[in-house]
Amino acid sequence: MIKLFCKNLPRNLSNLLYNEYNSYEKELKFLLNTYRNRYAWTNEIDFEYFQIFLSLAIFYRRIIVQLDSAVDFSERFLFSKNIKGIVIGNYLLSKAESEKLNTIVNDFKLLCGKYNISNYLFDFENITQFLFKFREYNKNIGISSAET
Amino acid sequence: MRKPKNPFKDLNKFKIEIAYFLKKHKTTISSHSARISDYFEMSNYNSIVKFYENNGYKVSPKNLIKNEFRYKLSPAGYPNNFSFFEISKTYTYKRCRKEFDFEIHHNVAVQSAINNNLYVTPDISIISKGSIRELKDPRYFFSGSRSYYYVPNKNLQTFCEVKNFNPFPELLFNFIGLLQELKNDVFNKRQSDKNPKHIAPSMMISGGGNYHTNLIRKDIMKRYKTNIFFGLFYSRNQPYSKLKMSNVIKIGSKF
Repeated sequence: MIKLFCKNLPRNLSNLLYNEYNSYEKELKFLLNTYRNRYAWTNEIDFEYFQIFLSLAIFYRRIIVQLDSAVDFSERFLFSKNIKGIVIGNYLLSKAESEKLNTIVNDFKLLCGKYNISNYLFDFENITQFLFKFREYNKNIGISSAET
Repeated sequence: MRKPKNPFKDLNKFKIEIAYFLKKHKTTISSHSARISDYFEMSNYNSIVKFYENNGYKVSPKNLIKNEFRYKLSPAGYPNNFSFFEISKTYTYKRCRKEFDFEIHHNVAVQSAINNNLYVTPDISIISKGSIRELKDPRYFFSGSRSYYYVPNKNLQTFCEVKNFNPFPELLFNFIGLLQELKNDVFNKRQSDKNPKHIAPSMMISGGGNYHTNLIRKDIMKRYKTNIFFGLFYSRNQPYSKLKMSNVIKIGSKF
């Protein structure tokens, strides 16, 4: 799954995402194989889910948050007639471009919202923390999607 | 309210939706990917501006070049070629109403508080209005033909350091070094308490901390008048939110 996320990114950025993903995945496999009893609840879940959620989290932290930051800053100027945009190095972040970024951020939030994935799930420092949050999410989504 | 979908019921549908999102935005994401780390710093710069706005300061962008806000990305470059924010607040000072003006700059060199010949560049500096000085000493540049611009330490009101990392002990303790060099009045309790108030020297970190790093954070904040913000990735409003403002440590102005 991480390949799909990295497909259109420049090499240096995609390497960053790959490396982060690979180290988390390696650690995850080790934990699940070593502490089978502690993580017995993971037996019912297809491993591909862990891969998808890890990829989503890394993509969110490395890409979406940064784009959201750019939108946040440029919003200050969006309603000002005198300011055309923000110059970052040789690049002009115009109002039109900022709106495009806003669409990406909103679409990502919509996608996550559809599945009740909050960014709380994406904030983890180590794989144990990720597993803890993933388990909570798994429990909650089961309850909320079954509610009528 | 719409019932949330359960990804654990249909894996393929979940994957298709992710793939559709990525395909739809691939061109824009790819064209912005080179600038992605700059955006996080920009957001924190904006948070500091919002802090002053929410504390009753008037904020206005200055030095716009061709109607564009020119953002200073690195310590290189002359400050007069870049835009910044000017902030002002009126107070009664010596029985008269007086307007106090400051500037919020990004990547401007500041003179050390200990040795006048040393300079360091914090990410965000809040300085007294019009206090950037020129140092005409060719030894400070490899080319020898450029000027060096800096802010005298007495004009530095406060500063913020931005780190796009998960917090770890060494990173947090390194901040004390910077604090010592730039705002050592925070150490010897000679810190001014005069109005208008500023955000205390702050470290802004993108990642959320664990138990240990949170302990360090609280301890440093208890020892010195500083703010250390964690988890700005998912809770960006910590420095400026009106609800959380009482948690933000403030210091007085230097005149």
